[in-house]
Amino acid sequence: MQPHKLDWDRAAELFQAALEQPMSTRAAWVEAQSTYDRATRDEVKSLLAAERTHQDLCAMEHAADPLPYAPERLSERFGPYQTERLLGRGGMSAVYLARRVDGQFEQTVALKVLATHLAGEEFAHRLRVERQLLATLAHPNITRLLDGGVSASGDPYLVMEYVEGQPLDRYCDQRKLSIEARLHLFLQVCEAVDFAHRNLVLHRDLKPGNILVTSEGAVKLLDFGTASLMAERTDPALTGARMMTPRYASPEQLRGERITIASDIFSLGVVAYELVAGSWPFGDPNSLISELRRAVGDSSANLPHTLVTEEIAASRSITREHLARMLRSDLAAILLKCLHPDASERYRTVRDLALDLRAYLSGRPVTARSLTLAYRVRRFVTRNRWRVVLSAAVIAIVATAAAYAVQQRAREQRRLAQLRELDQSYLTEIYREVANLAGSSKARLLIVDRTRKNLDQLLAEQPEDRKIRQALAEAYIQFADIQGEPFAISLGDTAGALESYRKAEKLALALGNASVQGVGTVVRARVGIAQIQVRAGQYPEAVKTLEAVIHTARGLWESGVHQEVAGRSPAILYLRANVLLGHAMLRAADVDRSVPGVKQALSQFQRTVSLAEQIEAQDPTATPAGMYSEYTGYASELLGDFTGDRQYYRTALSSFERYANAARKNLAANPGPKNQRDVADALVDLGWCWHLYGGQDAALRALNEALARMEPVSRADPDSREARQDLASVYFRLGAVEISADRLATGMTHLQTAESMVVLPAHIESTDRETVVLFASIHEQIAAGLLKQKDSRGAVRALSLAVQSVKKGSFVPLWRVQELERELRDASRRSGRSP
Amino acid sequence: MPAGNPDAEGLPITQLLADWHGGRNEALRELLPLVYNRLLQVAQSFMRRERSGHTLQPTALVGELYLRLASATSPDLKSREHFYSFCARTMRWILTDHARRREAEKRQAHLQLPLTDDIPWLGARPSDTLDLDRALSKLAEIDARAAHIVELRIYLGCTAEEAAGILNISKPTVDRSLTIARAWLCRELRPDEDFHQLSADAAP
Repeated sequence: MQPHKLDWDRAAELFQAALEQPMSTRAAWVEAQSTYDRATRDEVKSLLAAERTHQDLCAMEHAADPLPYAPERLSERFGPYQTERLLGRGGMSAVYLARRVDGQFEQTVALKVLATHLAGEEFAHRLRVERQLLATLAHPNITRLLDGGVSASGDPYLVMEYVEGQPLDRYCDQRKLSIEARLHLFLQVCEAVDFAHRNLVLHRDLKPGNILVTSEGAVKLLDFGTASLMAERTDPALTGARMMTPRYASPEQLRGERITIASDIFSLGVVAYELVAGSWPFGDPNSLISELRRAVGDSSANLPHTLVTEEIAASRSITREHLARMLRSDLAAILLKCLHPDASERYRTVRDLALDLRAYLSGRPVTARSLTLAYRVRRFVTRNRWRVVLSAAVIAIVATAAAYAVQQRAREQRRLAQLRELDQSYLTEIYREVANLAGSSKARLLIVDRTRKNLDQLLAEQPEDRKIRQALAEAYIQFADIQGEPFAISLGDTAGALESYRKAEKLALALGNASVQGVGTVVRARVGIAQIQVRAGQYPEAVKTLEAVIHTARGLWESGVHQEVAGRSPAILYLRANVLLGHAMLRAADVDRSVPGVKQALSQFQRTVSLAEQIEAQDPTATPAGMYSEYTGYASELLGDFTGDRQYYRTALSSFERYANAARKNLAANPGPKNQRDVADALVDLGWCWHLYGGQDAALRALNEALARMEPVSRADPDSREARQDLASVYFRLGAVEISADRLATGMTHLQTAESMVVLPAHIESTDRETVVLFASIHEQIAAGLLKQKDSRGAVRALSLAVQSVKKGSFVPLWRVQELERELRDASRRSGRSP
Repeated sequence: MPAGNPDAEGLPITQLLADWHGGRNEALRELLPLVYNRLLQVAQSFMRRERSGHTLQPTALVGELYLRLASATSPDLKSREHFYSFCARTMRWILTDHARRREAEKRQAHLQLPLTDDIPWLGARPSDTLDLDRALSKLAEIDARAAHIVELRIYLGCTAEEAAGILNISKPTVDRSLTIARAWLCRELRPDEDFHQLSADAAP
């Protein structure tokens, strides 16, 4: 019973002090400490008594015998057998030489006594089943299970044929057998195991100690199937699967997973490896780490020739050089194939392994060497369960896959398959996998480079087949998408992307108008080109590209074709073209501060929204049309900025409201950081527009909610520049609103937070436009705040930074640059006037 | 102390932890060798009561620990202390989990608590594994530090010096905590022994 509200620290203090007292007077001493309350004193006395019990128990424990080893069960009866001599002892069993003593006939057997806890109903049942199964295993190389049962004293036991022989490894080393002789012995092992497998019996614990060689040179396998008898099947995850010897166990066995033929093959591989190379394949057999790595499939066998020593060679009756040479051959490939961490990549049957070994012995080619591109790619894109893909591995695999593809000069049909593989698995999936890896930009660069070379090589071959040309065009498009992605790849290789789109366009144009796929590919390539143009600030060019393509895109969509082009449906393609056209128009108008231009962009966006509504009506899974109201909102807001007519802000507000509602609905249906960001984005737009319209309370409400939503998203992905920039943008807007409401301290804090989050790259690219604009705006607002605080010098400094930043590239509209310069001049004048 | 205090040898365990937490999964693999000896010792001590060789291996236990570490989505382990504590807790969890499953199957638990020199009676009973887990949770509510030290002591085989180093407290403090925790655990786990007598005698 714990006393209520006991002050444990006080009790501990009293307890420690009491321990200083002689044992016999402790209780009385505690009782006398009246500064401690009743409950504390009682608790301490109880603990002191417990301490004494503890001491007593310790004394008893130390006096007790050390753990008793099971006594040898000599001359004991197990059914009709009597034990004579201990042959060996394992963790859960002991093996005796025993004789049949019931007078029926003379027989010497090996009798295995199992740990007592294995006895019971289940053992009896399993013994019956297994005995039946094992009875069919009549093979000259397999020792028979003769009998089994539970002795009078309750010990379960198994009776096996007794074999006089030596363990395989010792047999070979003692006789200094050659590699060939060793392999011939090993082939006998294979025959026996294969025979058992065909009778549906797995060994589960293959190791040299279970493989005996008689003085006549005959191989005898012990303990076939007994591992499963000793296993406790009810707990397969922990014990059953772990009835094994880790040194020879496969990764799946170490992990406690289901055991298959492939597991026995792995163990055979270790046995063979040691037999020929003289070392354990995975480094130091006593190292736990190497075992752990094997368990997670994260360790591959050492190349056997690297482990050769004089001594090992001598025990194989050859020179060190000779042995190393032998081990550099196909023999190594055979061994490594057995030892593959992935069970599905090992030999399918022991028979296949034996065939390869025989082929090696007679100098014929073996199968172990072929690893297909399909396999490499499959293995790579299979999500690594421990997510420990190393960049080096990525590079190696990509390099090999690319080299393979380039070297392969097979029939056209084959190349098509290859291209499809490149297009679908290789490009998209591998890229995605790699993109998810932290610090993988080097690998990504390498993929991009390899892929480009690879595709160019295929293009240079001028394939005749239309299907190949189509596939190649689509591959170029997907590649260009990756190349051009500004944030994800951190390359922003717009020129490279443009070139790839152009190659795709040219290939697809040559296919003519007859093929829907061809037409679709042209559209897809041109939309891509326009996107790059927008990103590079070439707005009029982008408008021209899009206007030329949008009609065709519409035709594709209206024709009801559902075929996707490089991963996009005609509907999405058409919609995308429309959005992009609006964007290009709006940006172009922004440069010139052209009100008619913005109006034109606005009506383009309105068309886009109604198009999105039509698509949504056809396909409820499509992006809600409300999400596109963001763009009409922008255009209206810009009209407000340019004309000074607040009515436009009113219109913009209702667009942003619709956008926010759609985003919230999306989030509710599909929670996740991306949709969370959309909601926050909508709230930022809404809040800022309220600010412009003059509704400061509504502005703050929206912006604060945006902040609350954005912060966890940004925290979850601290490396994402985009997420950080989004957050900075919210702080900037909050600061601006507070400053305009004359809450200067709060406002400046927000602005400083925003400032600390935005870093201008040393070399500004067109893709940094948003960053530059944000950077300048933050410093402009800081200046506004400083001016209000009468710090005109500080304001000059801030505005200088803003002006410098917008002048670094030619991505910010001239009017904006001039506006900032004007503000700087004003501030300088004031600073000059102030004392 | 070969592996007891890697930081003292200037090994970057804290940095590796930060890396691991930061999503660099390879950091775990660089980390494990640093605590390898410790883990192996503990795992072996779990097995001491059973002659091993052909059954559940110490390595298998540590293997399980490794797998759980590897599949933990890089928990927030800021320091060496966090890491060791996490290992100890994971060991405790594996062991308790195993015992619980065995109990559910009404089987004798093979995997027993390791023998620790200062609480040699612990682990003598098959039920100790589960009972200790419950008792430690209870002790943690009263004296979190003492429970923590016992955890490090039993499940990670730390000596008092090592525990002091890991928790960044003095060795006498660890000793005092261990003494009272031992008594408390004895009262909790061996209530059938005769320690009530003393307290009953002296009560007014």
